[in-house]
Amino acid sequence: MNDSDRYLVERDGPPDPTIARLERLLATKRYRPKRPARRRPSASLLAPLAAAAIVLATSAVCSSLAPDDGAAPAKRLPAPTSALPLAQESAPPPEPSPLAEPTEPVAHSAPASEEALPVSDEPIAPPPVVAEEALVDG
Amino acid sequence: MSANGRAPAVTVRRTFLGAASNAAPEPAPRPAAATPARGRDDADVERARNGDRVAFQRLWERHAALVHAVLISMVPSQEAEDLMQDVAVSAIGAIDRLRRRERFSAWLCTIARNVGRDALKRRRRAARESELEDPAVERPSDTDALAEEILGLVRRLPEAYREPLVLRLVLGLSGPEIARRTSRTAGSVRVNLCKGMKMLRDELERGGML
Repeated sequence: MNDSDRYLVERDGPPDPTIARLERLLATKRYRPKRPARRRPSASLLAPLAAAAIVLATSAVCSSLAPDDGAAPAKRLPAPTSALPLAQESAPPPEPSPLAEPTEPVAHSAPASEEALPVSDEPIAPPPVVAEEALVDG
Repeated sequence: MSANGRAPAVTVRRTFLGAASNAAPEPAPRPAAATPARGRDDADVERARNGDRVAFQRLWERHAALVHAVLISMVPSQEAEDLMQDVAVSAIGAIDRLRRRERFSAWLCTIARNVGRDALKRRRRAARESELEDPAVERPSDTDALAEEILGLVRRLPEAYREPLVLRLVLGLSGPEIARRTSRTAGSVRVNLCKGMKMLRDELERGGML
């Protein structure tokens, strides 16, 4: 086996010029795995956060603008915490009556967001009749 | 430049000739993962046979270059890229029938050869039907064009010489490594490499490339 064949078969000994150049040229045809497209982490993180923020904001606006249809206040969604101080300032809860039903505290304290945005002078959540009678009598 | 885009290849051919006569030859760098460890293969083959897709993915990553080299010894590089997927799908479907896990790379080469032969048949059939020659290959660069031209010469050699030459010149595997990974004898690989290289030199000279 001559030097050229030894380099060809064993990759040993002095490189044959033609073989070495063919190696370098054809090495460009070597397989290179395609890398998957790089995803921008900021976009992938911000998209769900933005969607969640939109949903929260929409639900807050809808609950604050919903008309008072006389539904039971206890069944309404809890008000956002940011509206709580305003609600306490604008409509302080009345003194509890000793004759009031156990449902009375719920009727006055639940719709804090509606109390924060009064649209008329009428009481937003009138107490039960029993509670009014108790106050008049007292 | 002619309509068939051959002019840049001729320009590069002159460069190739000039370099061949002046510069001192240096061996090409060897690929980093030329010889994957057989122990890892055996374990992953066993897992892949039991349906572990991650193990098959590891096997594929270790042997994809070998599969690609086998394919480009038969079809143009661009087509070989597409056929890689076919080889992977065939291998996943048939790996439970692989009996000797130590022959995984040789088995994969056999699948690649079969996929390549099928592609050649389809090409010939399509060429007969449309009376067209080989589909035009996009030539992104002059070096690429020359490399593809030389690979075209290799593909015209007898079949027994093509694959060892491509594994040697493209992947940089030595004769014994080719023998081990294709489950052929070292003697037959040596003979095929030497005879194939002699024929390739003749073709290069005939084409004015040496």
